Amino acid sequence: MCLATVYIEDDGQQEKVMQDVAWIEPASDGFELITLLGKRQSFQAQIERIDLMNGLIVLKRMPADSPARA
Amino acid sequence: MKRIDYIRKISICGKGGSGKSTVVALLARGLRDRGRRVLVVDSDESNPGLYRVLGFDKRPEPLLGLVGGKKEVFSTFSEESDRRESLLTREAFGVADLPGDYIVERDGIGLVCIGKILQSLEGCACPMGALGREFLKRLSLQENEVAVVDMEAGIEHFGRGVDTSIDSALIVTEPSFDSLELAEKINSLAAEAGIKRVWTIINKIGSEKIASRVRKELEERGVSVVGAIGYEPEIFEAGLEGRPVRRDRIETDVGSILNQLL
Repeated sequence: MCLATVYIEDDGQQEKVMQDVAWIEPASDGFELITLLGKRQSFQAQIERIDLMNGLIVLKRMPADSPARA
Repeated sequence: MKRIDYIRKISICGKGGSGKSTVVALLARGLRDRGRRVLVVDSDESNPGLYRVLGFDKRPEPLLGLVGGKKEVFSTFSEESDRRESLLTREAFGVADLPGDYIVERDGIGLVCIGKILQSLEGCACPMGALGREFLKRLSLQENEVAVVDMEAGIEHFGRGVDTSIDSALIVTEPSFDSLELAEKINSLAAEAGIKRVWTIINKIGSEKIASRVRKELEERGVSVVGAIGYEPEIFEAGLEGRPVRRDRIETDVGSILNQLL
């Protein structure tokens, strides 16, 4: 699928958080993700991995007091 | 005895050119004649003319428009919500909730269209697959309603998960080795997708001898055959003219299939 399934990694654990993600926008402390049907969700995270062959995006959660991107 | 009406969302799938759209139309009309309210879901992003085969004058607006279309979807969601956005963000909706531009209806048959490829280099059809999957998942049917889904040719819809909410599948098979092989593959993919009932219709049958041979081949491949539609010039003439099939000559075949399905 070209639309992405998004996982978030936190303390070595991966959790599926969104499906059919069509857009990703940088936000002040991470990213805002928007699905095909318009559902929006923001994550204080950095991109760990993008796997377009399998339609996967893995985010890594950032601690609340850390800058989002180095 | 109360009949258990177990077909709610049935997909019609198979090889390109095997006759899926014709079977969709015949099945929709047969179900309507048996008292069902039928919603046909055009989930084939390539073929343009299902509305004509069903006897409608125009195609409904593609449901992809409800999310703004491939180009404009972001600006749609950047604005405040309207009734279009609210429909597909609901967990469930009924046929009556569909906005008027997005459904055409007549004589107990409605038609919706997921989306169509409109121009070269526009990108792949994955958004249409995802939208079809979510539409079918959220479509809540009344007791006498049936959704008949005209799937895209081949098997990519399984990869896209369009079949997630389908309870029954009908594979249209023609007398060719490729078609038989694909029927076997679809039978297996449908089982993996959790579709409870899978049957095959043999289409374009020229003689009883061919029908028996194809039926035997399919059964040896573990595919359940529910009926056959004979080679009928009327079907080809209707296809050539882009109009509904006149059923009188073939309604016996279709009636016999429906009697087994229902």
